[in-house]
Amino acid sequence: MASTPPQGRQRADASMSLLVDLSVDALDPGYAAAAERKRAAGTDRRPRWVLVGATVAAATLVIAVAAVQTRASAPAAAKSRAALVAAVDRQSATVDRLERTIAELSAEQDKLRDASLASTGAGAALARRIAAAELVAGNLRVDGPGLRVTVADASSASGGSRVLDRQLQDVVNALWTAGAEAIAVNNQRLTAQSAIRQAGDAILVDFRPQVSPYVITAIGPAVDLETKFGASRTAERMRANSQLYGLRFDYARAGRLTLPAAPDATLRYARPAPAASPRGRS
Amino acid sequence: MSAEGESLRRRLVRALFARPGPAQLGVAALCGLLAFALVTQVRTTAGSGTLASARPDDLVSILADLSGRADRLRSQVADLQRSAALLSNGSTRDSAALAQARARAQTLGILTGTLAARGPGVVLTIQDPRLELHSAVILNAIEELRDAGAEAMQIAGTGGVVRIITSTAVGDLGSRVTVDGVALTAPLHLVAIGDPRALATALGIPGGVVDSVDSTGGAHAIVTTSPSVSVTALRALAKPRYASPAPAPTP
Amino acid sequence: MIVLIAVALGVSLGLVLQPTVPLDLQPYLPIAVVAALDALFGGVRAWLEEIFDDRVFVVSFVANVLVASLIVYVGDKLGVGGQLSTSIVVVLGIRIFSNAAAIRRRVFRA
Repeated sequence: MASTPPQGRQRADASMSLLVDLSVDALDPGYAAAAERKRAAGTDRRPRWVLVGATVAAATLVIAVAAVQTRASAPAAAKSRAALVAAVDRQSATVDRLERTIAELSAEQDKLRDASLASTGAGAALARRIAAAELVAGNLRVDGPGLRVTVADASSASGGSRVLDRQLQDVVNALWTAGAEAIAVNNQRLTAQSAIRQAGDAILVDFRPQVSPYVITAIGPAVDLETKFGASRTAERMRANSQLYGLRFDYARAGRLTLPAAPDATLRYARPAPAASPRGRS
Repeated sequence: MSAEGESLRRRLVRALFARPGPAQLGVAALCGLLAFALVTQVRTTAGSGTLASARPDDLVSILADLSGRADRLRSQVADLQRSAALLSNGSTRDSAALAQARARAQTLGILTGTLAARGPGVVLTIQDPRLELHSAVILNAIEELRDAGAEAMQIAGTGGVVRIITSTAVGDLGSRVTVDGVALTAPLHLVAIGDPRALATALGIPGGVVDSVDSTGGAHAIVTTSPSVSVTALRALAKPRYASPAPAPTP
Repeated sequence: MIVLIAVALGVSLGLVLQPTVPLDLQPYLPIAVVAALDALFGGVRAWLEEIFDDRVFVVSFVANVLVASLIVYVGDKLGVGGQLSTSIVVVLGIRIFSNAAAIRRRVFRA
């Protein structure tokens, strides 16, 4: 292999001199200098081992103290955190299992109930009212045209800014204002009790952690949604955020979106009030 | 140079097909171990999922939320099992079906705002004499209350009262806040039915709704719990023109 | 010989007494540990290469710990304490590794 002249090698290595020096000078040059001195002076003073011993004892004492300290504090924090994450995973699995059970039981009973209701006129009317309400409440799987909005964290190259729960809430709010009839976030159907809330890296939609990218699907008049949403203050803010922080924000009409049904909810505190007030907004 | 490339290729071929000596076996074992460790690490990092970086405080509150939700679901399962018994019995089927349908219609009515509701809950009263509030704080309040399990909500102010449902959207009109198009001015009363303690805690968290209202010049928020509040504002059931029921996916 | 006794003494004292480090000094403990390790490894290597000098050993240990702690302290005042602490650990770590590699070469001739 052709060898470059020494000056060439030095110039090439110049930027690495810090690391090179660190490795080359790893042994304190003081030892070499002391050895030189001793050789020049002709003496060979034996090391004072007591002094060395005392220093070594001090050094190992420091290390032992640090080790004991770290052992004492770290495991508690790490263990409790690991236990928490495990508990959250367990509860999530339990919740999923319960929801599946509920979905199965409900489906069975709905069939039996519908069959029984269909046999009477009043029953059939009631069934129709329930279906209409379920569609609005989010308990029915629906499809239709609409808008698909995508919001995503900035890539780590452009600063890694994260989408905030507030921003997702804003987008959903703007979509309702623009005339959406049903909305889902990352395929989680929104209901009257769905909340969007942040925890760590994840945004929880209806208590289910979601990660970037967040795809918000809204069913409604596609062109209207696109125009009104695009002109909204929220879209302006999101476009600004996209430029400032590198968040991804885009939206497009979709011909056919399918939003899943949210599981049925039961009320534990609210009961129907005896008389409805005449005042109010219809 | 082609000559060197030639020998490299030949070396590669030889290396690939030569019989492994003990040295190669040793190196191979180490490479295998490294690969195994890498894959395990990647899967561990991937598997720990999105909660890996959440702070312990967040984890505690997520756990509390999930436990509450699990409890609610368990009582729901118990209810369903009771009604399953009634439905499967031929003689009680029709009356049970009717009763269940009525109960479901009532639940849906409360959730969609077509029925008035009553129950324990909280009232959030906001005074804003200088009209400095923005809709963002109302949106935040609604989300926090939903997160804490609010089952029915309404907001009243000078200008009207609006039932809050799934599609409720807030906005700003000049210096007033609009809820579903109705402009409201302070004093605002947000009524929510649910577990009073959970709702009040959610509104009162540091940096939460009460804090952000109080830190807006001149505005002030008070949360009162009550064993019985009423949500009486009603809405007509929306008739979606674009969303239609879709058939269930084939498993 | 006395060195081995000293090591045993230091370790047992640390484990038995279990002194609680005051909160103010806690950020400097990792620095002290790394400086101590650097001095120890340097001493072992020097002994293997037969150029060990007791004064240099003591001075290297004391100076390492003091200078490193001083740098971190000043860094804290300037607001870059964490980063300087990391850099000290990195630099001393490289030295420890180099010395350990040299020791390995000496001992195992491999």
